[in-house]
Amino acid sequence: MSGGAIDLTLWKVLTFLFVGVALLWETRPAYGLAYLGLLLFFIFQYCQGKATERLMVERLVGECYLFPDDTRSLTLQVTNPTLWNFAWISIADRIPAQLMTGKRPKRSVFALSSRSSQEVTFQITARERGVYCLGPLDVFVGDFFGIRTQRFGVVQEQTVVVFPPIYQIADLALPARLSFGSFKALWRMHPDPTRLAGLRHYQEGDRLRSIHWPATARTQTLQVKQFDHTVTATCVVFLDLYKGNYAVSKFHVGTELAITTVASLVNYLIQRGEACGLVSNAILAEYSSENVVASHEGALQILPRQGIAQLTQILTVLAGVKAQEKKDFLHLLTECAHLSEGAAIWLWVVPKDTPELIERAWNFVKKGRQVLIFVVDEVCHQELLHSSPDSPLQVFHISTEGAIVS
Amino acid sequence: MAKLAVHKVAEFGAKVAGNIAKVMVGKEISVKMLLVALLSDGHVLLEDVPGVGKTMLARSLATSLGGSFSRIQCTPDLLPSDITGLSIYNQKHEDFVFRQGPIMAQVVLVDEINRATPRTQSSLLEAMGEGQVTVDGRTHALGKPFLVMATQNPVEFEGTFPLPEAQLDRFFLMLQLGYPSMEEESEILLRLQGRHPIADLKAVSDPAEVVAMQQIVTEVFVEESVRKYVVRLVRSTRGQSQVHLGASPRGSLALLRAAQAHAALDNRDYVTPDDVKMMATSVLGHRLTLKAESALRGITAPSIMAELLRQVDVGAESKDGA
Amino acid sequence: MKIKQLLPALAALFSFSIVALSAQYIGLLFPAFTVPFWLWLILLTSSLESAYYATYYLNRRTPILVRFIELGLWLLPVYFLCGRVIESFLWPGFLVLISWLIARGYGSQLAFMERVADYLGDQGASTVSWEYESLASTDYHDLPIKYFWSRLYACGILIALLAIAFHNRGGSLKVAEAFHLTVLGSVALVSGLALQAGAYLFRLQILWGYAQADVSPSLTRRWIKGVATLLLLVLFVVNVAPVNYWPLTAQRISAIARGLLIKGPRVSMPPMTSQDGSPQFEGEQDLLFPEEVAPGPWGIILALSIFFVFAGLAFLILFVLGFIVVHLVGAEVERLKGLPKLAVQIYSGLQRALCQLFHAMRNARTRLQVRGNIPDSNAFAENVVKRPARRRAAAPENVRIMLRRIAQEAGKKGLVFHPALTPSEYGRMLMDHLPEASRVVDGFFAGYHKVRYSNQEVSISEQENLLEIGADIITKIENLRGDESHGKVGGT
Repeated sequence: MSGGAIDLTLWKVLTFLFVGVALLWETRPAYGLAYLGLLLFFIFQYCQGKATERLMVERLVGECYLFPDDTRSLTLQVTNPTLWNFAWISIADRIPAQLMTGKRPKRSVFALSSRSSQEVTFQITARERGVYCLGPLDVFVGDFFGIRTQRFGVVQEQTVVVFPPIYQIADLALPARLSFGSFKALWRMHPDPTRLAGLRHYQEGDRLRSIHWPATARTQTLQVKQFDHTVTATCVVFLDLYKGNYAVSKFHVGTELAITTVASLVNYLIQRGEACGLVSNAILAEYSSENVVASHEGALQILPRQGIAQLTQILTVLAGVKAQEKKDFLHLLTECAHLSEGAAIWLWVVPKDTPELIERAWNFVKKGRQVLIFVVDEVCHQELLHSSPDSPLQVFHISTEGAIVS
Repeated sequence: MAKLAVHKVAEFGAKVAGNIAKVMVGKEISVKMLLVALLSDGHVLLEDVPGVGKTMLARSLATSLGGSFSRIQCTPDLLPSDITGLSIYNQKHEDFVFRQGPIMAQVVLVDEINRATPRTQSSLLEAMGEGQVTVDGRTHALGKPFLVMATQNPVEFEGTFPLPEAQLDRFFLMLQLGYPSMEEESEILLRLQGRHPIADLKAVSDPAEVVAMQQIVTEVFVEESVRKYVVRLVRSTRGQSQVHLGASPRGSLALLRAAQAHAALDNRDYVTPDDVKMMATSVLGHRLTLKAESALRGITAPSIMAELLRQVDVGAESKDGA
Repeated sequence: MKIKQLLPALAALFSFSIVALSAQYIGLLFPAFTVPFWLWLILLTSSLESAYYATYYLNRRTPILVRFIELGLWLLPVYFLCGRVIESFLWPGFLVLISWLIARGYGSQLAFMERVADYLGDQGASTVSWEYESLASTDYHDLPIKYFWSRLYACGILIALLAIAFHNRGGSLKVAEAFHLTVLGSVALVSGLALQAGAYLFRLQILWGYAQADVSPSLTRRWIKGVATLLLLVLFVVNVAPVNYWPLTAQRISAIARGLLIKGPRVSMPPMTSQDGSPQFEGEQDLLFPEEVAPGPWGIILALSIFFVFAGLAFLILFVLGFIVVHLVGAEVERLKGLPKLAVQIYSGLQRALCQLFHAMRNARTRLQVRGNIPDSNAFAENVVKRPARRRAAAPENVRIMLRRIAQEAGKKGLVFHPALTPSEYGRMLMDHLPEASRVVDGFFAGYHKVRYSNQEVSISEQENLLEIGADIITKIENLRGDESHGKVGGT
């Protein structure tokens, strides 16, 4: 911490001189000058320096989640635990340009008396998808007379996650309800006691609570209830962010549309109560917390789960993903297919439905899965666009019309 | 209305709360809320993690009231008949006899209600709403008083069936017990070193007294401005941008009744706006259905309620407040 | 009032006090340079004119002739008042010129400060650290803050040199002269430091304005309060702290040196010489009280008066010290010990006594007003006396009106009764700000609830009691001071 309005060393030396003069020639004005120098340049500066060291600045909000165009107020609390009165404190947060409200970072200035605290509010506006880090804080502290201005940074970082926009799937030129065709349930599920399928004779080992007493009474033989098995469709969304697959001229628009499509699909599936996961060949941005993602062989993977927490996790990852140029989508399918064995429905969001891709999709269909391909750029297999809703392989074209990409 | 009657409610509340405090450390506010639900003839949804004292709270309340207590552990294979009871063929008498389900108790703890299948949940909630169960065409009335305390774990989602909004509305209020403070946890350890205090807990009331108290609560005076405030508050939940579905008129009724019970427990024969504010989050919070975007932004029902309570005109000394 | 409007006045006061103080010392050193009393008024007014003119109107394009005319307008009356004698005019005219010039310099600097962006450039203003850079940089035509410090200390050194010169000549001061010098010195010190602090605030405000910073509205008020506290402390230290504790003064060193040169290495104390040159102890005669002179009643009165004057002065010093300590340490006064504690106790006691006296007077007045006003607004008194049947219906309205009045008064102090607050929440808010009246406030709101929300009848005496309590609360609110230690600064 350094810096100042005047050359403090010079004034301190001058004060010593005044003290010397005052001691030699004992007059009130000479002593007055010496006392003034001692107070202003030594005692007050020492007190202010010590008080500044103990000044506490903390953020009152933890992680912050926003959608594009959202505005949020962030609060800082500045506490002065000492007895010193701060004439003025000026504080500014280092806000990335993508979050800035207005043209320049906002600075707040206030006085802080002894043993008190002050709340400072800044506003951020989310402009585009991303994971951003706010801070460090830029703090100035000054006195009443312009003797010294101290400047220091406070490392109080805060993560702001701006999710990709979410649209209703109808806004993406998709059917209002996605229908999943017939597919095999890959895992044996537990019997659902609410789905009575019928009765059968009692066998040794059957539980007593499953005996159907009215039927037993009627038939005079023990009858046991038989239930249907519960089947839950587990979905995995595959996102292709391999740079080579996107046309150079439409790279930004295409990748953003793909990410938006994934976000909207995941939202739709989670709202339907499906268990949904994500696999992608994208890389995570610098600030993204990688511990939320099970990264396997250079691929991002989030195992299928239900609920809003899963949606938050997937959207957080989508907020921070970037395209890469190392791993092709077909490689991703080869390497990560075994990781998504349990998933019955695969949703691929890709720039193009190349013949290789379609061939690979047919292979998975043969193994009992349903594959829905969402093309954000160019559809090569027009015939698959109009396939039956029951078909295990369907292709959809995501339209760039409307408010999705400006 | 005689003031003495309200005095009785306050005394009743104090003695039951005091008795529960022998077992439960801290949680005074939760116990008071529970008493509000009991006196309002409502049911409570406890959303909390395991091990914070939900069962103990229900058992100590049941013992204090001198009523019967039962516990239902919900699992996916739980059938409606496991709750309501079923007719079993008696070979000796060659006849069907009705075996009562656990719902027939006066204080019922339904553990992890969201693990039961929707059909089971539905039959339970219907029983709660109507105060009776019908098995094999015969209707069986439930006891009086009748308090259901259902719990659900907010952390786990896998293998659960979240309660639909319409079913949530049937719960009078939702509570969160929360973890005890350091001092409270230390006190719990001290108390439970030897014999569990629940074993020595004695009844301080009886079901008939509870029913009488419920009757008194309905007679607590509500001034017109307070009634309007309740309506304004409930209506404001419907116009919120973060909310998909606001509170229903059943929510208004519940809030008013809760405010009456709260006032009576505070030994007042009239309701103030503070009673309404005190009860609003617990009574209305779980009746709000948030938009998915709101949930993603980290907005919760209590935060929306807190914001509404900061905005909605109480009508205390405004021109139309009278 | 903007700080800029006040600064020229402070600059003028400082210029005047410094010139007057210098003139006073020079007058003491050289009796021929004594200044007439009327000159002081001209010094002050010319400084004021010069400072304000330079701050608001003077610029580089102002013709030199206008400047001469302006100066001539001040010198001409001095010339006439000096009897049109050029020898008598020279010294007073010179003083007026110096005072006018110092004030002009300050005014020009204040005007210069406003043009800071012209020198730093707009590009600088768009960077985050512009504010800091502009505060920390040392070039750009002699930074204004440095200018103010240099002038302040240069003036201080001048006065100190004059005082040393006077002291070395062995001059003695009369009481009136000493008083004059002390007052002028204090004015110079206070005005100089206040000008320094004000100019710095002015400069910061300009910088913050360019940086579009969100400045707390209470900053200026707190600044003035803080500077006032520090100035009192400085004034106290400079005027009261001892100045004769150091043994090795120049006089003694020279005496020792003389002794060494003349008598060898024997060290002796410097002789205190009397008027006739014989060594004697100073004050020896004063210490001896003539025994034959018995103190008469006037002597006792005089002694008592002196005692009371000194006691009063000590009390006043302790009161000022208490004020400084309370404002410096805030809530930590209970940790103090010794003299600071005594000073704080005296300050608090006196303040409390004055407040109580003030409250009692206001209370009595407000009660009279409330009793007179409320019946006028709703015919309450008439009901009480003549129509007991209507009395019950109208009375609860009075309690509600009283709450509205409380809210109205509290609203003026910033304690607004927001529509979303319940009466008891508002009551708690009042209690937080009126901790000494928390029981009264609590009682009023408990009664209000009963009147407002219950369906039970409230007795007349109870209602009257509530009205009295309400009047009490209003009085306490009127005497409330704002506390913004936990305020908010909003930024967008």
